[in-house]
Amino acid sequence: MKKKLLAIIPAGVMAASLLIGGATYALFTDSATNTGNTFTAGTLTMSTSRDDIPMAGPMFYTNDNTNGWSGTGLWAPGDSHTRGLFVRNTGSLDGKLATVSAIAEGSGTQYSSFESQADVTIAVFAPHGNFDQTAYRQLMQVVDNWYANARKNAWTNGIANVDDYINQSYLHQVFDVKNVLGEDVSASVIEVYNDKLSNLMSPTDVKTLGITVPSQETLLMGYTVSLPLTAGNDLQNKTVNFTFQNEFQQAKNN
Amino acid sequence: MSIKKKLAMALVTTTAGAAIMAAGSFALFTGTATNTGNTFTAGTVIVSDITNGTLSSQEVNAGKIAPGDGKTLTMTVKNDGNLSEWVKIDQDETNGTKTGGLFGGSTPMTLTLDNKVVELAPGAETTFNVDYSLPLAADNSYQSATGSFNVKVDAVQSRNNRNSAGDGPNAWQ
Repeated sequence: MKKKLLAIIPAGVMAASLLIGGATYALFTDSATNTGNTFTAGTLTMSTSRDDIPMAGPMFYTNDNTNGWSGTGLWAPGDSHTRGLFVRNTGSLDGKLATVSAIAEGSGTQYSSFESQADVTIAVFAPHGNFDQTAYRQLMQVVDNWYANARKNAWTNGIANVDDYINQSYLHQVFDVKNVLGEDVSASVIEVYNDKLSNLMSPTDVKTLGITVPSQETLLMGYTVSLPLTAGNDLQNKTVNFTFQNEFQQAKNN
Repeated sequence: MSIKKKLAMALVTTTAGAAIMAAGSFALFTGTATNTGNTFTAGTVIVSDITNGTLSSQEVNAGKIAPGDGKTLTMTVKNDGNLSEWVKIDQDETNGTKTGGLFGGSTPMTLTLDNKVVELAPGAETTFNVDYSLPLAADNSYQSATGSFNVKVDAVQSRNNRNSAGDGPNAWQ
């Protein structure tokens, strides 16, 4: 009995001292850790190439040369030329076309004159069928010829607003070409921009068109530059240079 | 970590989050596709008079014209531009330059201007005829009279400017 009491009392005393001591105590604990969590941001990077792959360089140049055989020649009022630009999404995120713009590569009165008179149409071609490089090259030639002939027809028939007439017709065109296997394929037109070059000197917001380029895929854009018949003599013998630029934004959450 | 510290940290985080949201701005990932060096060079439409002297100097008797005199004078022009062009004598403008007594009165000197339209490639030349004639009936009132004129040739690009017959422009300006 005494031993029990003695045994009890120290425990009781210890317990009491634990309580009375008050401030600290130890509980059994454990932890579980999940390590190595990694987030990697995706990328949105774009590369461009002319429609006459593997040639590199500007879409519009004057003379045929070793870097290309689609020179525009010298420009005169009434001229229209269409060239293509492949835009490839080399990133891991899908991209959405956000703005299109042009940048003058020089200055002077010839720039303001050319910008105020030249018309620019930017379009995206939606391919149908087994489109390959052969089909794309044919498409650009077909579109170029179509545009030039449409203008001549409009002038011949006395259409008052040639530009509006041409571009409304353009939007409803489906261009038929053949691929390298001789198969019939076609492309329809989505117009992105149609106005004076001067209005393209500020980025034009085209995000609402919802044109997207999935990761590792390619978009074909067509650029048509035209000089109206009314273009003035002040442009004679003048040279201007421009950059054409397209900005893409991530398509996700946007 | 004490509960107080944990709460303090949570408040800071929340405040920071609220600050980001309140700022109203955000950044999306972007990528740019660029094509540089696009060149546009306009051609030229130029027509030059290469007659090498006045048309009247082709008439040896230019200083002593008599009634009944007449001759075909030739004006030569050249395309000195780098675009093909239509060229013709501007009849109205040329006739508008005639001055002097020889072009007045009841039996004036006449100028018959070539009315052809020619398409000239860059570097090519062509000639236009100008026939002058002082009628045989011109009387003594024309003695010592003078007559002056200029011949104006117009040029306009032929590209994108061809009529349905293909033998002239749709428009001269």
